[in-house]
Amino acid sequence: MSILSLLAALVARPSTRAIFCLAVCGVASLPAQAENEMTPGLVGVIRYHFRERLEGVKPGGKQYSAPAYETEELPPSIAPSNGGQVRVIKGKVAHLPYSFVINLGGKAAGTLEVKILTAAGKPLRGYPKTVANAFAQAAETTSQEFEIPVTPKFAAKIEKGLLEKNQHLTQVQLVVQTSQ
Amino acid sequence: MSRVIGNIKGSDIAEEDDKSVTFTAGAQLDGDGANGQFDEPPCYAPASYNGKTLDLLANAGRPGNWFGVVTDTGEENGKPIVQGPNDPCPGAYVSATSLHLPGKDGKPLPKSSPFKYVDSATVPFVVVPPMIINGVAGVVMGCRAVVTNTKNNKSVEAVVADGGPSNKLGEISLACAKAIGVPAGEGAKHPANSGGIDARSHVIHYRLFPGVAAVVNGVTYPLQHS
Repeated sequence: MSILSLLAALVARPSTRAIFCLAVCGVASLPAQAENEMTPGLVGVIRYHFRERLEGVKPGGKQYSAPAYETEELPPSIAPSNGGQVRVIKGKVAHLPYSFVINLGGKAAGTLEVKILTAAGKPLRGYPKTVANAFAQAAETTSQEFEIPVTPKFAAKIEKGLLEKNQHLTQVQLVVQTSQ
Repeated sequence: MSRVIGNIKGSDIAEEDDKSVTFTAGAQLDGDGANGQFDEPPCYAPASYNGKTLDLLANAGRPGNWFGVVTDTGEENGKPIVQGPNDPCPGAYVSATSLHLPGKDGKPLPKSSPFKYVDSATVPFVVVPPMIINGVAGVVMGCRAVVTNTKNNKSVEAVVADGGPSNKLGEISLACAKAIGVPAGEGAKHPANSGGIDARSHVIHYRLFPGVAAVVNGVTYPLQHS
């Protein structure tokens, strides 16, 4: 008996027909389910790197602390309807006057695009930036970092509003990671 | 009964009955002290340097405000000291840790020596805030530390080798991060400027032994009074 004739015999019986249909439906739904499970969310974090002038250091000692950073998180990523594996972060943080639009998979599968807009709605100098295969497993890449230029005047504002006494801002950075 | 020395952003720092100091926090990364002492990349170098560096130069400061490299005057407005032809990474800057190592003869090394500092790339070390250094009787800088990642139970013997900001808890060297399975910027252009574990995650357990000189990979570190 061939496989086709065996299948025909099984489907001809009402009881096995139902089981067969359920099995086919289950198998058919697997790719979609797997796709959702395999597509991680995106996390966008702003890191404000600084060093602190340490008090009471002996002559010849290290005057400044090790580098450290404070963080502010961008809103969680969303998955646009019928967007497949596309993930998008849109939003602002309290201590920067910029709007962020971060898109993974919109241009091409695995491609990360970062747009930063000034308060006037213009692209920040050096942006948008695009990274192909941003989280390629073969390269062990788990995050992508982007420098955010800030003027001395704005750095002083961040130091006053976010950092503590004797702490000096060294750079501002956007870190994009997958949430898995 | 343990004594709470203080609290930084939700993490208690406790002095235990045996005088060890414990706390749980995240793990930011510190590349300071890496000068290629053991053939790994240096932490900082000028743009003209042809090689990888562990951290973005901006994190060391800029002309007139050098916060993270050794300068000729010892002040932030001095000129950064550049490694010479006989140093491990000619052309790179010299990056410092708070803990200073002696020369082979036991005498202090000049501040321009790349070997005066503890190499973040190869030595598991811990960074601690002034609250701990000033809050216990035993000498903290150079003391033994045990760092444990409670997510995977990986643990490493380390040395306290650098001072951190007053309001930050939980910072380690790149070698320490690698040893306990903390992301150490793998694949990143500047590993020390990437990776780490969020400070709020509270998954890294630190135990320090003030007054007990660290022995890491067969090297005994000096206890250094602050």
